[in-house]
Amino acid sequence: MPDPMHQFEIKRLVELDVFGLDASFTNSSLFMVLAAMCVIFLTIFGMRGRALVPTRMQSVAEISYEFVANMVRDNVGSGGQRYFPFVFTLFMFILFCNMLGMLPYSFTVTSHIIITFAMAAVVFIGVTIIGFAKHGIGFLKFFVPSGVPVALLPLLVVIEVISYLTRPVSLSVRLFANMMAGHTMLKVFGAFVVGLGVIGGWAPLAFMVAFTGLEILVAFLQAYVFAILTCIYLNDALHMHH
Amino acid sequence: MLSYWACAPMAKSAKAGGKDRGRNRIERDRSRESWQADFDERLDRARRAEEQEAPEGAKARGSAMGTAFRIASELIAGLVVGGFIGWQLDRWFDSSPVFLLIFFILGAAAGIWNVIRTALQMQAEAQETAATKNPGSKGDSG
Repeated sequence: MPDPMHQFEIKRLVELDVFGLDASFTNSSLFMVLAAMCVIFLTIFGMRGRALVPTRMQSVAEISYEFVANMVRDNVGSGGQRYFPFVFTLFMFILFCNMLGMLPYSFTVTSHIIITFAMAAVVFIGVTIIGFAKHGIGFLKFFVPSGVPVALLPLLVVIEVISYLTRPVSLSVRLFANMMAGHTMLKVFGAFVVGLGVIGGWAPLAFMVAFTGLEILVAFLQAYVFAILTCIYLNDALHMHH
Repeated sequence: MLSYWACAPMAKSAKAGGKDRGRNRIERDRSRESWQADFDERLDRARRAEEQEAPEGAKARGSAMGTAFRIASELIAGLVVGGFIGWQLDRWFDSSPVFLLIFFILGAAAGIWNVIRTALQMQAEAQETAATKNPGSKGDSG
């Protein structure tokens, strides 16, 4: 049986060594570049016509813009439009990484926790900096729950701090686990189809068709969840309420 | 997006209008007037339904799994972060396993606290959407 984890293997395409640091151009890098190029292609070339009645591609570009713009407006509130470019870039990049991963023989960038954790860490650190820049030292009040007896306060502050620190972990694990579990499932059932042959292989094949549909939904949904939680964290930092 | 959806009832009505070509003119004018009013009303209803239900329905379907995963990962992240902090403090102070035990429990508390907070937030959102939905559905039936 073929190894279902083989698809997650990192291969060096161009060896590159920067002062003893392995900075090779891998298949992961290749698909990140591809995802970024797809987003650029969609937003720049799709919007080139600027037609009143949009073409298909312009329509897709406009829908994704409006989708993220509404998300930012609804979840971040006042002063949120400033961060729209960041949320839009993040959403589109994750969406295209996930969707490119659905193509056969492709590599799913977001199935590696180091990638998702790096993105979550950028969000976490950025949001924390925004919080301190906006409220100064008063941002620490964010960790002090209101209406609590003084005796319990030290314990609750520690719990609040830990719960704040869980944000990048839950954000990255969610995306990574979804993508990896889904792709492993697909490969395992693909192996069943081959293993059971012409007679018995139809049942897992039918399952795979349905599961591929679900995976496409998950690919979109996880990009959406990542973006919307970024918005919620931004809202917390800007307006400081739970 | 809205214009696409609004087009659909319009096309259907145009087809229905084309069928009664054989009637005399007065009746046709009158029927056209009522047809226009009827069309406006139906368009209005379709727009309202599109505004209220379509995005919400898609959201509900899509986010059920997202909700489940969000809550589960929230709990696990609490344990992982608490455990990691405890393990790291133990390494610094060479006091294994005192901090690991304390912070694992604190992490579990933080995880559960996050789950409760997320669930409350979701419940509030669900109630809010239910509250905005109800008057709309009453207007549709009446």
